[in-house]
Amino acid sequence: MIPFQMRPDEILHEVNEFNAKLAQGINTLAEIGDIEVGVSKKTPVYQEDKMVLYRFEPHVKKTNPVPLLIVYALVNRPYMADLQDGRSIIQGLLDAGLEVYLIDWGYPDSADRYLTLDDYINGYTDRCVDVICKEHKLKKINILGICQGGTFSLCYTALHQDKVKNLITTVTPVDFHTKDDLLSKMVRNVDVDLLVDTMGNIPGELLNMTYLSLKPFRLVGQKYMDLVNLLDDKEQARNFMRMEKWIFDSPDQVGEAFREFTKQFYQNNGLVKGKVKIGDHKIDLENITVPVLNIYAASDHLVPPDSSRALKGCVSSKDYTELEFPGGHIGIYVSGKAQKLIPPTVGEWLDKRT
Amino acid sequence: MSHKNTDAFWNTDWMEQQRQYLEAWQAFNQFMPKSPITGKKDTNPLTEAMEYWWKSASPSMPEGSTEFLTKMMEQGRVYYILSEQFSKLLKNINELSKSSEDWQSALNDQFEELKKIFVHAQGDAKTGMGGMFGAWQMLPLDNLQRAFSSASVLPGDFLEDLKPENIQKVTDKFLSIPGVGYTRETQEQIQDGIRLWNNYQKVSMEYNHAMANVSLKALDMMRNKIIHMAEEGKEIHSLREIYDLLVDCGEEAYAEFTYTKEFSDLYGRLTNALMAVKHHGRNIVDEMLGALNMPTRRGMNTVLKRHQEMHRESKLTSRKLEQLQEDMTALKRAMNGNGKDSNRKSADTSVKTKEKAVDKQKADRKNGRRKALKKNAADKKSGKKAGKKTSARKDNMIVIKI
Repeated sequence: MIPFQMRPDEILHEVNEFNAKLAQGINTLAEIGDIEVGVSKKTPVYQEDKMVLYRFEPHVKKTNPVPLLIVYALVNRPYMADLQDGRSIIQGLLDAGLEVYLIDWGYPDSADRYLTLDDYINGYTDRCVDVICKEHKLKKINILGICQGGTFSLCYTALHQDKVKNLITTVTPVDFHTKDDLLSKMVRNVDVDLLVDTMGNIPGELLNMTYLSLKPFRLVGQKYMDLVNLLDDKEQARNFMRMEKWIFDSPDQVGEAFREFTKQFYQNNGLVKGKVKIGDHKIDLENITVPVLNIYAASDHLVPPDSSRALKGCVSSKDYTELEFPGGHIGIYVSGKAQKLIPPTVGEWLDKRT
Repeated sequence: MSHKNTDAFWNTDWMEQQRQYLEAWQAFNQFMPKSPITGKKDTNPLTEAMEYWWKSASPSMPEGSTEFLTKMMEQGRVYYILSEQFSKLLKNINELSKSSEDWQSALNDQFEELKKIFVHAQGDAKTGMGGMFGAWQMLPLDNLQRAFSSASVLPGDFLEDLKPENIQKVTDKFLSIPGVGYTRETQEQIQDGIRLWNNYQKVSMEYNHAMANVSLKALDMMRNKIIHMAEEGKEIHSLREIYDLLVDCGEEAYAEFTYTKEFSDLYGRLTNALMAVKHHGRNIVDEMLGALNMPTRRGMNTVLKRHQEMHRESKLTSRKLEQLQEDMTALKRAMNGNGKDSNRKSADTSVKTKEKAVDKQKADRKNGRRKALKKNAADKKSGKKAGKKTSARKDNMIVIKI
């Protein structure tokens, strides 16, 4: 049987309908105006160079006495965790009774080119932890790392466990050589020294394009076809544009930190081998004994689940919990499903360990 | 919204043009010859109408939205091309006897035509099919060229126009001449640059070839899936389903290649070859700037590196100083008997605990004294007590020292 059950005139009708939607959609997009991101009230409590530590206004009177520091990745902007009302992990964490702090790395420029992972982890992050500890008169706080920020959090905890009460990693790469890690395969044979020596800082645009090229047909084509069908609803179009804004809001990557991260983690897979060095300190994940909650996304195309799950065999924590989220790398923060699952789970998990 | 609005952006004439084109095309379609496989890119009236409208409308679009809207328009082109190709296919099938061999043969013909358009479009981002496979434009090669164009005196687009087949003969001769005279170093530098450039072009052609194969494979997969669907009795009811099938096959073929070691190696060679060209160019620029006594990249790097080291040391020193100041403050307060520094909680707690212990000792001693009095050994006990009191004070002092 011939599978095509349509006539040429029906195809033309479909095209005509598409045209109408496209034309209407362009009008809708033009009427949307500025897209706002970041909904929760926050105050900068500490600033150093381009890094800012924010404290979010608590939502409930009685909060968990141990504050939670969110360590974001150097890639893209942290407002993804607080994108909009109803699609904000931070809102959920505040509702769960947590006191939330967030590190925003800012937009580095050529003057920051020689910042190293040591500066990021043992410098900025450690000083942020100290500031929070001092503010709350505590010796230890809770840390939640997002993606690369999760990898940083692991390194930080391995070196400064005396300051970490509980550790939560979300979509965090640990084993960088899993068979389904396309990003890792792409950079495996790149001469990173030559790249950084030539470029200095690595343009954010390059990273954007690299991520898109992991699934080019879906992310560059099909996504916009789907959008045409959403465009008659202004709110849906606004949501789409908000995500689009976040996706392409990508800071340049500091040259030295990029060099270290790509070589030590992506190319040499040093984190699982215990060969990563941050400054003068060797990172041994076995040093980690604090309770760990490892959250990963089942359909993550950037950080494959296996890469995150590898953490289990690397840390010494007796209290180790895994949570699989049925979604992708971004959906774990912005989807409706995530709002119902992730923050309450994190809140409860921390409450039990406080 | 008034249709009379003079602003090109609000001009909905495009819709009217589309309608007219559709009518014209439908009329024309009646007389269309049976699927000529010429390999020549057909002109799609819908695409042309949209291009025409887009050219007039895009300058008045809100700034910042143009790139985004362009992506949507590209996908519009995809739809138009697919609609044209599959309309032709359906028309041809309708004229056939509907036997399995006949429609599959028509399907094969149509896919051969698609392949030719596809291959042609890959080298030309501005054609209608360039939009269809807009994904390929985002692939690493172009991506690298655009992203890195700022790293050299040569813009990214410059790389596009120089093809090794055009300059190979000239460069081979040129490169075989050894540098002579007082400009020998410069000659060698230029020769090195050209060698690097040639290498990059070779790798880039290799890469394009590999990607072209992937795209052809995607179309083969799609054709096979359609035949498989027919065998399973599955139906396709819309153009959108065809488009989605194309996307699925594109991703599948792309993943099949990109997860191989061959791709990893090729991508690495491509990036490294391009970086080598850019790095060489940057060194030449540095030399020129140095000759003009102007700041060079190399010099700036040295300054930035030193600055970062100083910045790091300064932060460490500040931190140590801060710690010392805190310790000093705590020490002073403790010495003054005012241990209420909130930042030294642990020290305070320790002091308080010790004080409580001292109080307890005092109370114990008091009881002991009473007992001692009863036993009429007051003098001896009192002597010991005085000694212990001193010791307790000493304990207290030790705490203060901490």
